[in-house]
Amino acid sequence: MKKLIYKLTALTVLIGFVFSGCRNPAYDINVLFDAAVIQYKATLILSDAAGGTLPTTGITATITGADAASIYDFSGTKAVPVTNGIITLGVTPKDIPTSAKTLSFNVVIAAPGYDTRTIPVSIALNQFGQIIDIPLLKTVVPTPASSVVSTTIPVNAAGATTAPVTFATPSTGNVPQQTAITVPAGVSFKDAAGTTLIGTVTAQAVNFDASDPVALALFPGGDLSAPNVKLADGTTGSAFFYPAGFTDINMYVGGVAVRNFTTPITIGMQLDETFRPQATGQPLAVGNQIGIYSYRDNAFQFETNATVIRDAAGKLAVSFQTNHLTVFIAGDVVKTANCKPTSVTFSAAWMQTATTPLTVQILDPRDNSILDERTVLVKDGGVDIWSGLPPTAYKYRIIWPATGATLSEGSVTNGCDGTAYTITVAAPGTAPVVSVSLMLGVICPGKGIISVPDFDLFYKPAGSTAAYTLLGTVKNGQLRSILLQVGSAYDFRANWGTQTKTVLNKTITSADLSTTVGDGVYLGDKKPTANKALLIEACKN
Amino acid sequence: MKKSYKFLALSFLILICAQVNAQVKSDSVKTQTGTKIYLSATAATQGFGLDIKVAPRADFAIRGGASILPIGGTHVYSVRSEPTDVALDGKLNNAHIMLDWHPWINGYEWSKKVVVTAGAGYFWENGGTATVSYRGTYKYGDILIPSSDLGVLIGDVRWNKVAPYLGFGFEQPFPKHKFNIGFAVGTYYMGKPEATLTGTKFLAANTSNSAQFQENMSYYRFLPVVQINLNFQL
Repeated sequence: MKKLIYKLTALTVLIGFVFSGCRNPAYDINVLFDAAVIQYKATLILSDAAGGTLPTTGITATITGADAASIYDFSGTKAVPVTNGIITLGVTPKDIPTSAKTLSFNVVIAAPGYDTRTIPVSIALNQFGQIIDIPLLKTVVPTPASSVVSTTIPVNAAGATTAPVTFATPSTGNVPQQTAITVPAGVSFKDAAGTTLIGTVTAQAVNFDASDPVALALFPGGDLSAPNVKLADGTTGSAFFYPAGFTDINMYVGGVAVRNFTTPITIGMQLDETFRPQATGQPLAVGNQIGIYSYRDNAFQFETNATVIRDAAGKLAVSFQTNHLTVFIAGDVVKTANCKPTSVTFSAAWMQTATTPLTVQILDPRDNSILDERTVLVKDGGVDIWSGLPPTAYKYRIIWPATGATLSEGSVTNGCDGTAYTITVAAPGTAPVVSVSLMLGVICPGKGIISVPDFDLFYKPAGSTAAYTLLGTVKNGQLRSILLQVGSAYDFRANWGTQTKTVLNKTITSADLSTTVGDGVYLGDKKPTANKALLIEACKN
Repeated sequence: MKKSYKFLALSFLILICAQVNAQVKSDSVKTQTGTKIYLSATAATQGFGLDIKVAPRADFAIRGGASILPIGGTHVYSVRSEPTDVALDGKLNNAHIMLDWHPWINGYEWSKKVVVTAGAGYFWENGGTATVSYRGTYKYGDILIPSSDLGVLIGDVRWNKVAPYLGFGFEQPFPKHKFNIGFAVGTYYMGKPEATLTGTKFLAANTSNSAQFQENMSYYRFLPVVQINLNFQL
């Protein structure tokens, strides 16, 4: 009996515990860390303003400004690489914007042979993605929106001019307005430290057609809004420019930049004759007062007011004097301090769950001149934040980039009052809209399925010499686009940090292209061994 | 599931065997008369409790009571080789009613103490939550995310509220002393639990692991009981 009792006891305990503990609760559970660590992003797409090709190496991006410490590359590195002309920025999670705090920083872009550009960027609450086009300008190369003059200014042994020198940008088919610079006799040239420079003076001037939308992206800072403007009333703050003309003047002595003159020089700037001053609302006319602003070291400053004249060539122009060199802007400025951005929700049921980049134009309702042009990744129900616009009414136009067709247009009553709008976007009247899904799953050896970090995907027709253009952002390994056609082949390119992955001549065979990459699953048609090594290395992170 | 049936079959087999064994004995302890009432304090793997036991006969008693089992505390485990804190917060509190039967009441000194128990419990607190947090700093490129910002995994498990019980023990039938001690082992059949796994912040994607967690927890259907009873005859 004792044996029986012992057996029963042992059996019951065994049954209870064995049945309760035969599976680890964590069995086959792969803990997933959200790869979308960076939720607030800005993608800067660089291009050559004259339509050329950017160098593949040597372009650098440096983040400066108040909130620079909060800005990282998409991949999480503090160093921000420029890969294939693309800069991908993100906000570290602990510093994301709030209703009380909009992040502001500058992106300083330097490229061999190009003017260094400083682009102020702000990221507001719910402004999760921005696409900023940045054309880079070679000072001596004209573009469709700029004309250029280069010359030499004769000086004596003391470094002073002996006679007045006048040079002017040419009037071209693209840029009919001219800017003339007159250096009087007896002028010496000084560097930033105030030292008089001795030697041959080379001078360059770039004149921009302020009425050309292409010139908007060439405006100092990349658009007409500026965070740091010292105004005529002495106050400093954010403001929005309405330029009637702007010009960039540089002089060098032995490679050293001239910053000041011992005697003021004279600048005569022809203006956009369709320009309407804020004060009158009427087309520009002789006798109008117009502000002159300078831009240097990432800051705008009021210089003087100038009276509009009709110059010897019969063009409306202003003439003013200055004792320093920089970019000069003639036009109106309105304050945008305390400006609340406009929240826009897109309604485009025809897009289903796809996203597509569309062009958004902001227009001055007085004359339909374009104040801003931006690329927005639109999806049905998607929200975009429109900031950096004037505190006035404006019109908007949503454009299908491929054809230029207008998909939507309307008005905003005040660009600064924080009103929310819903904009219905019509389907483009082209081929039937087909939504193609690209899904990427990744199985890491020993880790199982992982979350793929979000990244931007660029594409072009297979074999085309055209530049890659943005297809969209891959989120959680998935991108659904209406820009791809079933049966067509494309080249795809994605950047991650300093790395680039290119997939060439990929044919869209169906509307659902799902691939899981992993050891024993799919490692590509070409170089699977190399791809496996790449996968293992990437999975260590 | 197949194993569960085996267990139930085995338990019934034990009962049947015990009954057959009891019938072949015909000593007179079973015939002792007079209802006895006991107050039992229990300490067991399913918690601490209190029972009232009514024994109209030496070989049969009915008892009812309640027990509570608070589960709590923080422990350190490794998940995917990463140190994690696991904070447990659960309760398995039940009210139960049990039938005790001494099948060999007229047997040997040891065998007459064997008591087979069957009953059921109502668990008004029937589960718990485990909150798993990553220990240390998660690194994404140069961005360091402290565990406090990373989020937590929350596993929640709820069993059936009503659970049958089967077990056996050792206890003196109609003891001579006011105090006596009993011992029991058995198990509640809790059924397949409802289990969910969710995550917060950067672990929010782990909701997709919920099905696997449910599958893993479906193996946890029994609540084993190893219990000591301190009985006081009223």
